[in-house]
Amino acid sequence: MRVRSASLCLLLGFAATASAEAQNPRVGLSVQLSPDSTPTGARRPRVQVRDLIADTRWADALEQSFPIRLNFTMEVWRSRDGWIDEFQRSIEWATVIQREALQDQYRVTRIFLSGPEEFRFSTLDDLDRWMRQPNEADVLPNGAGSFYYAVTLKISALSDEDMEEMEQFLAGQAVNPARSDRGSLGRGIRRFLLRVAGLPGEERKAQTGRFQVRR
Amino acid sequence: MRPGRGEGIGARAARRAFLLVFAAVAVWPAGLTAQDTSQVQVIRPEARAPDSIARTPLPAGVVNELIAAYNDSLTTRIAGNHILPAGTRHLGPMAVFRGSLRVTGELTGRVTVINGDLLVDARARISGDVLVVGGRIIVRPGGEISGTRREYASPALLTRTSSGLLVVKDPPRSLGELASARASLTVAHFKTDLSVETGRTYNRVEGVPIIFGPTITRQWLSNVEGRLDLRGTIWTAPDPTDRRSPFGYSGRLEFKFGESRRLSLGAQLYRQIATVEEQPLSATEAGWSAFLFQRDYRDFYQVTGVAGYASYRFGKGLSLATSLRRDGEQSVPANDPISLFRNDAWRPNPLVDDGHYRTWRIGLEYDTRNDRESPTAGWLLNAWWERSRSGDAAPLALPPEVRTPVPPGTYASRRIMIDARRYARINPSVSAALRVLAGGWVGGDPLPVQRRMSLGGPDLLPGYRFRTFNCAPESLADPSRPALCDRMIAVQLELRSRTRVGLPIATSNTYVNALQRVLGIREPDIVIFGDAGKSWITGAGPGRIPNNRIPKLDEWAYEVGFGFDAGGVGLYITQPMTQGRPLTVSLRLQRRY
Repeated sequence: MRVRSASLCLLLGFAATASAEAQNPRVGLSVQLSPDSTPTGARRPRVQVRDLIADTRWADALEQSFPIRLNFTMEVWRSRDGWIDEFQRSIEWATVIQREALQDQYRVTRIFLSGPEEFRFSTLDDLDRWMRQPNEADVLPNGAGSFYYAVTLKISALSDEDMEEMEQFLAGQAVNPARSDRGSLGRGIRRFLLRVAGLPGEERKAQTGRFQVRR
Repeated sequence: MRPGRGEGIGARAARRAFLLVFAAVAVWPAGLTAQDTSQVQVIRPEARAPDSIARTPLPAGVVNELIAAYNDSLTTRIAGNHILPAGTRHLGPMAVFRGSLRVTGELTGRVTVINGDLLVDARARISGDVLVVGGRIIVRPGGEISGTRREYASPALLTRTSSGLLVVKDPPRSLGELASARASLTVAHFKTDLSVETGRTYNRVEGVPIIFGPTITRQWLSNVEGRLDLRGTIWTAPDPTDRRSPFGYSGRLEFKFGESRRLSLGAQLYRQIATVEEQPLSATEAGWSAFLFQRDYRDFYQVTGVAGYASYRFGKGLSLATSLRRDGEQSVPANDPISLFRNDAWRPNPLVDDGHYRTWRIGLEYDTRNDRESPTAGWLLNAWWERSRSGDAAPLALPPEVRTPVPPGTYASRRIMIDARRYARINPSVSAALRVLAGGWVGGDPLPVQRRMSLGGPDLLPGYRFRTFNCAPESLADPSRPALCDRMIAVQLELRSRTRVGLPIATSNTYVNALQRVLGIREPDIVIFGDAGKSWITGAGPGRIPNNRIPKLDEWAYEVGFGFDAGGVGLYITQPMTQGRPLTVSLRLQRRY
């Protein structure tokens, strides 16, 4: 009976913890493999950002009209039998979310090498639903072997300087907005401004399991 | 309900199963939640835009129109979002910069929205022409715009000055450039930039070099670009001996040819302070060390001369360069600039072999690094060979263990330098870097003092004190600790992995934040490293290594260590493996290599 009571307490404790986490969820990242649909067995990565809008820090930043930038860096790795894996290439893209206070809507600018794409959402729920959808990147490894994908997501609130840089990119100037590391000084200044403003910044990493690509 | 005796095993099993399911649901970590794949978006992050649909830049006329409209003294200027409430009427032109304008009332006059949207609500009315750049015009049913409408999606690269007027935005400046002042003017095809800036270093010969002068560029030629740099240099550390000249100068004329400017040809006339070795620290780090702690890790001499050079970029990171120069090289003394935390005597600046030298150099650079500041993949190879001759050099008398006396007449030597680095990732979280730096005498007479080298110090062998291996015999009691070796080789290997300790520190303390900003603090890498190196006098004789040999591995100095590199600041602890030396702690302001 004592054992049963202890187990019940333990379970209730876990439940309470889980409940507290559910009330204050933190943004998460997952990356999974698409179904095996190619003749060689190659799989594409599916990237999903969870709970960005449910995370009160980011929701508050948006409500205060601070744009949020999500920088994705996806790396393709070939797994080797030895302990040194082979880095094949990396791909970057970015998503910027802004609240248009006067129009009471949310604007999302997704920035690829091919240019920007813009989406607008009238409610936070619509935006949340859209953000939760997995993004299947049209990316495949080169060659045969065992591969996996590693994804790094850097989330930051944008300063005026960053907004200027984005304007510069959207105007066709030679800057890469998907690249967050513009040098340590630039990075430091940006973080300084955001820290002073009390805004958050964080990084998430995830990677897929391994999959085989046949010749 | 207490279970009765008759309760079967099945009921207990069912209860346990329920508890297990409850537990699983309760403690299921968020990270293990399966992806909702009901709606999957396909993205193509590697696709490139064909040229035909590349974004068109904003026409220059529109940019001028925006500036004129916003800066017009009759315009109501607004920075940021603005709403014109229902029931209100605004008369006169209005311009909004970096924000959206929502009109729910009545506006009579020209409307300009720069990098934002214009929203006209139901029953709202704009009587006037509308220009929206970097946004959209949205008119809700019942809203009305009676003038012309123009809309450009591409944003305008403008910025607001402290007086509230709009100007065309200049490219952003680095923190180093913030300590400089610039102005430019363009006449016909010639653009002139005037600048005053520091040399971004500090040392016991110059103090802070302040460099000023114009750069004149010939613009708008498709196949050639011409550039003339004229610079004067003021050295803030006075030289009481007058052996150093009172000021420096440089005039450089350079032409770049081809559409992608691959070929460069140039000529330069100069008088400046040159460094003996490009190590153990970069000029910036050596400057901070001298300014804060009065430790100047470099030696200097004055060069006055003329040079011609050519270089060609082959693409894919490969370039070749050659130069021919004639320099008057002369010793200069250490002066007495201030130092922040110590003010003892500076280390004397060593004498060099004064004279005029003709030097021909051929160099190669191959750089495929993925990032110049924090590379994790790629190669960097810098290599050069040079031949140096002098007909009037006055070689110093050095101990015979270092250099046999040089007979009068032509004095000629050849040397090489190779700096090869390879960066590679082992897996997504660990990267490795290997560096080999080697160089020195390869032929001719013994090297002049200002072409010699050493090892020991915070960069190549941080476990050993500055110039521990400078090849000076014990009989030479020279407080300047000159570098006297003919050759050196150093090999460095490191592994690094990013940690998460919560940097930069989230604080409202202005000073801590400013310091973190200046140092570019980020999450630190933990670095594990091993270094080895040897410097020596080459030739025949006791204590020398024959010309055709590299020292045996058991003659090298070794060390291992670890540290943390948080971007603009790194802390390393090194244990030398030879000579029984103690642990050394070193602070760096940039990545090791």
